[in-house]
Amino acid sequence: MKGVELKSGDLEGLFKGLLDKKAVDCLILPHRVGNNVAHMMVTDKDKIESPVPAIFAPSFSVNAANIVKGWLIKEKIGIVAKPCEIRAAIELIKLKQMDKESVLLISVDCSGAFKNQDYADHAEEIGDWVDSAKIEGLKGKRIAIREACEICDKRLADVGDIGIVRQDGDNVVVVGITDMGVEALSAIEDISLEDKDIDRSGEIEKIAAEAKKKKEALPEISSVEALEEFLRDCIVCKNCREMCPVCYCKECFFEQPLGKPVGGDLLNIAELRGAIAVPVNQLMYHLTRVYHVSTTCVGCGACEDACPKDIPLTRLYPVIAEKVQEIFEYVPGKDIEEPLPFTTYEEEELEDKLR
Amino acid sequence: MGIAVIGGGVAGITAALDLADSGYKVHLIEKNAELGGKMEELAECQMGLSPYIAKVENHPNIDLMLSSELERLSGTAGDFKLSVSGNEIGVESVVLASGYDIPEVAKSYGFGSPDVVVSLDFEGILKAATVSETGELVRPSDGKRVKRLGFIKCVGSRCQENEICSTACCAYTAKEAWEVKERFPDMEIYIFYMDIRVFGKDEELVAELKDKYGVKYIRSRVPEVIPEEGALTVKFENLEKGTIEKLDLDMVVLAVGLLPSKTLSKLAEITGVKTDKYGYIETSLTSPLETSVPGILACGTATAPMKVRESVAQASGAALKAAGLSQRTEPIPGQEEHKYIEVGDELKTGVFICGCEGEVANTVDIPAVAERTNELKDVAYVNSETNTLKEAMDAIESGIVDQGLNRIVFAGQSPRECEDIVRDACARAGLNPYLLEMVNLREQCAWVQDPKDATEAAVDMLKMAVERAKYLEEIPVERYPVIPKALVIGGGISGMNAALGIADAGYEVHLVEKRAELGGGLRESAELQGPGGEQAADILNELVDKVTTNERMNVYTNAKEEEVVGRAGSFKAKIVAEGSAEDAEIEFGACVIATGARRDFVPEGYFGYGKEKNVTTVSEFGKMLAGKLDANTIALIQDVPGEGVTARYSSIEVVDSALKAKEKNPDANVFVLYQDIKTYGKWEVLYKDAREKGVIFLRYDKEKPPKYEDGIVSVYDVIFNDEIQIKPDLVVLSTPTMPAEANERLSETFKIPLKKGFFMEKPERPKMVLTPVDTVNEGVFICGSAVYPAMIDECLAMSSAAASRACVLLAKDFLETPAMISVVDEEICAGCGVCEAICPVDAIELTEEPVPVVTFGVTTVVGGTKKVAKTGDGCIGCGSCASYCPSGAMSLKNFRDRQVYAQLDYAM
Repeated sequence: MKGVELKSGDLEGLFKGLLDKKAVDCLILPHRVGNNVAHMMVTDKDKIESPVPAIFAPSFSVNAANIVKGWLIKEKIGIVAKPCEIRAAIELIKLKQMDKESVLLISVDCSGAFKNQDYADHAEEIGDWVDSAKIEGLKGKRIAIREACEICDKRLADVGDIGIVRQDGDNVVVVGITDMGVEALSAIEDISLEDKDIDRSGEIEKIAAEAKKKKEALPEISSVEALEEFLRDCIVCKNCREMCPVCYCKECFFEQPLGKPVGGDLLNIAELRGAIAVPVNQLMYHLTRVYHVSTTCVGCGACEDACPKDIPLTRLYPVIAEKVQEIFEYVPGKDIEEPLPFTTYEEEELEDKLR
Repeated sequence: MGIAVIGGGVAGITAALDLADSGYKVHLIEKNAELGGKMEELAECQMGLSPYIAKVENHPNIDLMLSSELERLSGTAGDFKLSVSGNEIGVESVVLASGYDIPEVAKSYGFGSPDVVVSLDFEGILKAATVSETGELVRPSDGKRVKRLGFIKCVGSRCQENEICSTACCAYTAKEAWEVKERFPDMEIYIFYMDIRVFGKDEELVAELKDKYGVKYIRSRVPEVIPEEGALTVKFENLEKGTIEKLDLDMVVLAVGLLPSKTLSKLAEITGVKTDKYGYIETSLTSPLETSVPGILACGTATAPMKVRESVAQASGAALKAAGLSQRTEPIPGQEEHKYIEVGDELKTGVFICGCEGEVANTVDIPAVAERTNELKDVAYVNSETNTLKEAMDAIESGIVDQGLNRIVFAGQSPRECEDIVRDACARAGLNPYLLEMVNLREQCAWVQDPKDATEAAVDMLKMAVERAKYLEEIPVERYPVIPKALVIGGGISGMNAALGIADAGYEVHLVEKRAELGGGLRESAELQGPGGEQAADILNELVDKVTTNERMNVYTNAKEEEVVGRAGSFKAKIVAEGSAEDAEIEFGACVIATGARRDFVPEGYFGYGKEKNVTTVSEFGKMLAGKLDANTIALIQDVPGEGVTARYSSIEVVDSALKAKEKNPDANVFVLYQDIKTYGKWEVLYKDAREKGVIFLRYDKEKPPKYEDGIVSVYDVIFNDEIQIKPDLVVLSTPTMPAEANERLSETFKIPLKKGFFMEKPERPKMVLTPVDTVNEGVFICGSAVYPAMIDECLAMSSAAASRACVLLAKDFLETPAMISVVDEEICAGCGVCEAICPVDAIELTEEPVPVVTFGVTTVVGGTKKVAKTGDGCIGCGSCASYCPSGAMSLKNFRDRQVYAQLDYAM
């Protein structure tokens, strides 16, 4: 793999270089805003502030892929984001919601994240990077990492076109993962790429083992009754859908007359059954959505963050999605060339799994 | 005049429908009071056949003569007079489809004990077990659960009383064993057999049974079954050990063979057709459908024991031949153009509840259901007086005409049986046929509900249907003309026969052959199998002559089809021929694929082939037999591994050439090394003959294949349990047969699945058994060795069948475009393209549209392009796209979300 080891402070120059050399027309990357960290979209290279430590900060606001959904123009956008965000972007490319040639995807290592209001409130205690010991320590102080991050086993910057790997000390390794990534990096002056083969299998195993334990400890939703109870407080605001990076419909079924009956339609349905729960379609909405995202859900947890009723949706969406993805041996966002499971129907397949 | 079809089983029904659908008058004569024949006793087949029976019963061109028998026949082809149970009818041709009967079972099989059953009865027992309260398979004698089940094959066939092989038993036994294992995975199953005579997908099924399901196949002819206290003891010879062993079983299924129908000898006497020494109607390898009397055709198990699939193919083929001797006199149903009434805003729903000849009425309280349905606010009229489908159709027609009903809910038998018939009734009365909603009160209510719940369930089902009916929409019915021409791909024996069949029926044919001359794979053969001594070249030359002199035939050699577009009834393609300056642009309504199979597998490296001069293949050996044979010791090795499949003719060819070698040189030592000798049907006699004439058969195990080294063939014979060495002058290899190269391309072009390169279908669902030459692509038919390498008689029957099916289509002036197709709401489409990827027929195209960039309310630049799905021609209405589309932008007409929701909302 082609890459370069840099001081983390040099990343500022790298991002400026991408804009300067027109490798991208604009760049989305995390910036510090007071105590908080938020995505900024930058077209003027002089507006780029020192990106480290913001890009590694354990804070999650919006899944960046959600911002570029429907980027149907030719101009190229670069996205510097956590692996789950990059993986969502790759799924959106497969779903033709943006063009592969119009995005440069730059993933950064992630140590897990806190809801961004939690992060803002405790920025100093949380710091710029967390490890499992620190996470446990913070838990004691009732500062909890997002459940989605706890069960995530894909936190390394090995997806997209470019990866930014955090090293111990103050260094980072920037690697070009795809040809497009290598080309973009090569365009920048002051950077000379060399062969960089980094073996992270040990790290991957460790993360996976920890995640697995956490996953197994999650409470299960084991029946329809349990699911109804789980969703009891849902007000069908559909904010989870708004924030979901892979929900890509132009007009959601549940905004259409059948999915969201109003006035006379609502009365007709009530008349048929005598009494109906309102708002309608609470269970139907979630069941439909879980089916729609089950192969593409990247487990980023944006749905849970978005829920005004604090329903722990991570226990529903990513958990079910993972089971479905296991059946299809499909990891969303892992490989841009791998077709979506629904598009690869074979008359004889999955027989052992469906038995 | 018309055609008389004698026998109302699966073959008779098939022949009658092919003829009636093409506008011929048919008299269908059945001795029993009901149609269906033996098929009705096969649980799975009954379901498959029932739509065809319903169609026959309601077909305007079929004169159904039940409980009737042929008493007298006089006259000649073109002018037969028949006396049928006292009625006199005149026809131009006759199709005999009298079916089979099963032999009487010898007492030694323990027959008489209730736990010993024949396979046909076992189908019923298995079906009953599934729906019984415990869901268990129990012994008929004492009701105890069956844990050990045995199947004994070749009962009443390959024996003294009936020396031929019954062909069907190996496959149906495997299917029954599979069904048992699927339902009762813990069942121990033992199958006793002599040879496993299965091909293709059945071969795979047997392998699966052995490897995956743990079914024990024991090679031994069971001499007796001894019913004892609480168990059945089966004695058999353990060939590996050479000992006689006993096995206790709870239940034994006898896979009985097939015999000619008991009525056949009388039928033969009346009609004057010759029968063979086994009592079947005599036909020949090269005229498998013609009897000894011109104008009288025969098909199915009246001619030889065979599987349903082959019977059906023969029946279609016989229909074509019969049609060739007759005049079309009747209109083709469904060809009238209808004017539909304007349906206004006012909803007038009529509900018709049919008693289904008691099958619904005996379980469901129809008057009560009618009364409660009548109370529903949107119901204008309820009729519950009818008891047959015919009566119900009359009631619907008058309801539409006299009462002005504009939505019809029909509750009766399964839509699989009667949907077309009811839609036609609506259309005749002037109502758009898609303003119809069906309720399956028979299968989904009366048959399955507890009688005390059935009435309530019926009311609910009707309420749901009435609700859904409100949201039905008129779907325009568009017609397009059928191009009365056919394309036949492949100029071998099957292709030529199909092409001639179609041309003789009066249609223009384009016959495309990739080689420089017609003839195909049969060009490699010399003398045909069997004692007839026909030369392949003679048969081919005769066919080629007929083809090339036929005025409706356009023959293209060194050619192939390209750029095929269109649908059933209206295709277009280019014919590209080598050396021809211009491509021919052709139009056609139907296509027959007859690409044959390839026999050019070179067994390079096997048994020294290629290096040793005296190692050859069976087809080469066939040519050697035409000359002088100076080999004294010959070893024929069957089942040589390699690419491809084992042809149905493989064993027949080996045994036949072994026999001919022996006849030519009686002093020669002829050995056949084999795993299974698959001389099915009457070919069994060839095997018997060969053994009697001194051909030595040595059976080897797949795990221990024979070797040929230093001039010595050594084989471990599993009957002698010893290694045997032969020093042959000649080693003859029987090699696998490969699919035609064109199949891949054709599979892609016509979206027809391939299996191992052939057009066989793996899951043999009833529909496929009953439509052996039809494909998933309407208007495209398959036949001959392109489906699976087959004998000449089978290729001829199948290609006549394909021609018959093509002619049924070409006989129509118009076809309707599919009405229930997918449509897209472009406003909602997000352009993800998944529908395009999953569409099995490529009927969806993703188009690009410009996206204007509107900033601060002003359209500034045209920024990018978005994608939008468009549905086009070719949609078959499968609904895959609609079921994926998350936003509902894609929907299937007649299955719109609002229609389904209305029904569901009622159910919830």
